[in-house]
Amino acid sequence: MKQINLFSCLGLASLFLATTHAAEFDVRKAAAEVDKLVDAGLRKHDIKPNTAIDDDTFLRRAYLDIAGRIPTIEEAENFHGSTYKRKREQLITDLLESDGHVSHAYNFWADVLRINQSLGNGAAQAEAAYQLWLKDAIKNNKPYNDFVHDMVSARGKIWEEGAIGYYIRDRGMPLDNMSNTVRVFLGTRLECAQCHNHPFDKWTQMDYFKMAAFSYGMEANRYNSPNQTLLKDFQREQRNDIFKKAIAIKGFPQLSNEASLKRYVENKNYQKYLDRFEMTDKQFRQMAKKSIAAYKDYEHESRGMRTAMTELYNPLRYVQTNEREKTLKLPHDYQYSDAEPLGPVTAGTMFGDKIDLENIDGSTIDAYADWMTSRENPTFTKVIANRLWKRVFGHGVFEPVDELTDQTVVANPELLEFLESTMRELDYDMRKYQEILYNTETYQRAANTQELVLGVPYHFQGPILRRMTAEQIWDSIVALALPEADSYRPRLKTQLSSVEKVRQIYKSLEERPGDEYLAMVKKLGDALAKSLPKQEKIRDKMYKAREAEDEELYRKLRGELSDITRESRRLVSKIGYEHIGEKVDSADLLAAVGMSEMAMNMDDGGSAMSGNAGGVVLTKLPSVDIPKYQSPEPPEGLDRNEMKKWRSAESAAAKKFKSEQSTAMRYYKGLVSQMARASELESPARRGHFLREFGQSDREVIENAAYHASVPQALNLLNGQIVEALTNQFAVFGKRIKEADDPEEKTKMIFQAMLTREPTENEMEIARAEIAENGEEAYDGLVWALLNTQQFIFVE
Amino acid sequence: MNTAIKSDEWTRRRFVEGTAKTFLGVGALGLGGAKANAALGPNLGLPGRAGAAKHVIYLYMGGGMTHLDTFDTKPGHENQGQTKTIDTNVDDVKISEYLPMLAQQADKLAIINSLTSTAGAHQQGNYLMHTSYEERATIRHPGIGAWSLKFGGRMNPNLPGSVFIGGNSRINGGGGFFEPEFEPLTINDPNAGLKNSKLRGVNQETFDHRLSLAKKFDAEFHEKYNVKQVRAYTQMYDDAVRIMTSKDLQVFDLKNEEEMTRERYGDNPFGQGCLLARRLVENDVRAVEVSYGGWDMHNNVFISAPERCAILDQAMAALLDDLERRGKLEDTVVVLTTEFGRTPRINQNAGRDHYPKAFSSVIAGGGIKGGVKYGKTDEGAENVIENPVKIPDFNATVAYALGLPLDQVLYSPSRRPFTVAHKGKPVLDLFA
Repeated sequence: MKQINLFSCLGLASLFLATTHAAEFDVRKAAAEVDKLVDAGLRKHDIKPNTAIDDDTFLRRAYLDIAGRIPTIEEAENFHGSTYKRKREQLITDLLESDGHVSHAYNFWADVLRINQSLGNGAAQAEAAYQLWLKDAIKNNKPYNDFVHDMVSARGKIWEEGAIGYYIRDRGMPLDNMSNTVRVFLGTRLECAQCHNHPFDKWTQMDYFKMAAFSYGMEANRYNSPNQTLLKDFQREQRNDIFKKAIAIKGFPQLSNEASLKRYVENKNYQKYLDRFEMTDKQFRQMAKKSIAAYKDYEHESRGMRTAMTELYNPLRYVQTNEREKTLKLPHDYQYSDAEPLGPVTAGTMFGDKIDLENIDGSTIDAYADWMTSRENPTFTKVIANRLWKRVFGHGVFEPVDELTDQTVVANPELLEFLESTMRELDYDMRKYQEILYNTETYQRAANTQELVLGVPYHFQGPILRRMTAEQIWDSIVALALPEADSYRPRLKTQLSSVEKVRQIYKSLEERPGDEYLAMVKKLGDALAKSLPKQEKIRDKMYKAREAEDEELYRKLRGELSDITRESRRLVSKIGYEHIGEKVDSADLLAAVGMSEMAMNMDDGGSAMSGNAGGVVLTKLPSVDIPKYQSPEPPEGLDRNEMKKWRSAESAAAKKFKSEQSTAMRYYKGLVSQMARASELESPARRGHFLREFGQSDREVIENAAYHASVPQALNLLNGQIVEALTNQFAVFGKRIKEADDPEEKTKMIFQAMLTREPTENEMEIARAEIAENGEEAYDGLVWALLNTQQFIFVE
Repeated sequence: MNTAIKSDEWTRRRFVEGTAKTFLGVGALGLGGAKANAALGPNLGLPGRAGAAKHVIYLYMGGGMTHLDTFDTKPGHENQGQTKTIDTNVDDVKISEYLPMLAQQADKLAIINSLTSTAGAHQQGNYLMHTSYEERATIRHPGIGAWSLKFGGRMNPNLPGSVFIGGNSRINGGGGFFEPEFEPLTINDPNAGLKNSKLRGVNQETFDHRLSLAKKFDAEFHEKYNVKQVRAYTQMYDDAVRIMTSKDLQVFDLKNEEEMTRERYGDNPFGQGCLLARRLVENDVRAVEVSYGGWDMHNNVFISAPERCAILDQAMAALLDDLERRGKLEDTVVVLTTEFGRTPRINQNAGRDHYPKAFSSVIAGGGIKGGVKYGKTDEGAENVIENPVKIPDFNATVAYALGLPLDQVLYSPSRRPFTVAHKGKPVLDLFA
């Protein structure tokens, strides 16, 4: 077996793919062309474009749309302070390259690709690898056609190719996987044609099955390896030996129980059987009894080894995808005249170029992925050009973005054509493409205030007013509370080591020489078998203890039983996984996230770093200093006794201060311990989490995020703990408010941080009155009030 | 005549829209929304059910509840292992010794011993049981709670239509492809009440004052963006504030129950969840699911099963008892179910593995005939030999008890047709 370079494929390949083409591309010219086409469309329908937005609105909108959160006070200061003439252009470029953008785009793609926890069930390591792969692809701006090709043709193991998560997510559902592939990447809904010809579109059930045949061989379930085959052979021999000893008749069936005997006896060829063995029914039955007994012996003898197998391979259930030769058959109730039910299906494309399966270089799935991502594919480019357009403007040039039919109404066909050809010209450079769109005047116009009517095309007088996504709301708060929120990835190490652990397990099992492997399984099997009678004894005692209602004894025995289970698990690891715990080269770990070693701050979480564009990753939060007690000078003219009294009072005050501060610090730590950008938490968050209440997708079906208002949302903002993450004295924002000098400055800062603008004179007046009446508490009130405005959660 | 009908219809619609805005979302709840794209499907020719139940309490045993050690015991058979069988308060109905309290209420239970399915993996089985449909990667199907809300609408405008109680991070049979407001409200910890519903660190006066501040700061924005989605939030805030002080909120607070009552249900999340479920349906919440995991007993089934059963037994018995005494059992269907049974043959770890071929569930209340065992498995509880009930049939029975139209087709946004129990046929014999 070839030696695998750890994480090589999670890593860097895409770095080198940014084409010179894109680098030379004239973004301004393209943006101007987009504006021209949009304006022509508006004129044609006699619609006036919206007015241009000011810098404040642009700043907030750009941060939210590109980096997925509102700007911090410092970032706003930097922007406003810049004297660079094209500072909007610069900001767009910077934000598209930021870690914030990776996080934001991850949430988007994770919803499209339905990346949920453990990819459904039991595949946590595959999920980790898939996540890392996707974030890396975004960070390195992997061209879209490669991005899709990687997923659709993904084979290998999670530590070689994170993209196989694409198939692991849909394991056991190859037909649905095809429906989703076609919907997401080709913008066509085929799922209705799975059971019959599509009722509202032109696709036939045959089209469906011909398409499904391409990826039908992609298997992401349990695998077979040479070592496993070896073991199975060994077990068969073991079984044969036992039977041979018990029954001297050659070819006599190995019967496992009464039911299998029954199957023989009731078979219509039973008599022929008896004739062959020259037996009477009675003799056969007698012999069968021996056979069943032999099987029991075998089961008993092999039970340790069988348990060992289950335990050893448990962590490797969903770690690889392979392409196999597998023929897809039509359903049993296929009702059309062009083929028979249950007939075999030959793969064939639904539109565009044909694939000649007889003459392909390489595998079927590669040919399929080539066809799908080809520039000539009739819908592939159109769909992504429109999808990203919608991402920027809030509405597609055609809608829905994933349901192109002959009836689809395109709001502005010339625009769509230009977008499509631009995407091709850019060689599918998604970042450059978005850069064009963000640089248009169209994007930098006031948000649309009219309600869109379903089915009526929108002509883009400005972007659509949108409620922030759940992640944008959460991440905005996180960015105000935590330092360096964009580069803080608390789960990164755990994710990397979980992938690494299964790689080591795999290595331990499959890269051992066969004889060594067999000996290991036998050894483990023996060890596990030894514990079985022990467990039995304890169980019997427990049954008795229960009957006698001896709770104390029962509990004691229960403990003993868990000890044995724990010991078994330890044995599996000790005997089976010899490579576990091997030190991993940290450079390898880093390669997986595309960073040099210098850039990664794995352990101490120092607070010295600034900026987030330098590729620094924080896996721990920087520590925050607790302020020291400032002791005043002793008053003058105290006598010795008075001085002593004063000192002791001061020391008590200092002690009190210290204890208050450390209590506050503990509270703060608890508060932020579960905070990080949404993409760096369990994803999606659990039900009931702030993120889920605001509509974070459960990733069960494609693009399932929601934006509707609900009472739990309001309750969350009104009474939830979240506001404290802003006002807490140790939080980044809270600290700044506390440190600011005068009330005016504090108020301005609060408006700047929460709404990315200065307060109006009227608002300042209200704030002054508040401060006059409530003193320091007024600031918490202001933050709370702004958090509970709708302008906070809508993207203007 | 005509005018009267119209005005009725108008009132109903208005009511539906009014309730819709209140607890969980915007947009009409009930058939108001569904009717627009609903069409009649195949007619199963069922008689209408007068006096149908209004509520469902769905107790879900996650992991696969062993049938041999609960409701389908086989005394004397080698598959039975340690578990003994006891008499109940109904002649001929016998259940496991691990359920002594439910045994005293067997006259309320319709025990179905003949459930059968082919879904032998947890997620697939769980999904199928909750929705009657096979899990597909292209759609999510609604559960019984969402269906009952869709057809019946919400009853108490201040409370959610359906509630899920349990710590699960992923649930099946939520709102499915219905509008987002059909998702159940999640209560992770029944003792904690409704999250964020109490003032935090401020008094009412300060709260009101701050809220008025927010309104002042937001006035200009609202003037500029007078659109539905922004207005929805204004409405939602008004509702949230009203709910905070409404009497209905007390429903979520179990401290309002006497200590003795709380103890009767068992001092554990499932027990207290059942108590909360009772309080919710008493206050006109349509559907409550209480989830209780840990039934995946591959090892030591004769140790784990009695432990789980003790908690289930106490909670469910208290629930049925209370519902009856408070006169709510007639209009509340109580369902006890799971994804599959467990292998009758005891494995080498003294456990039982997954077994969808034959398993048991229970329905009580809602006009269901109690004291009944329906369907039968063979001597080893391995095969169904009498009156097999498929999962859609089981769900159709529950839906029928709730008076839901089994033949009404509703379309998903992708225009695929679905019915409440996937064309399952209700077991009419179970109805009194």
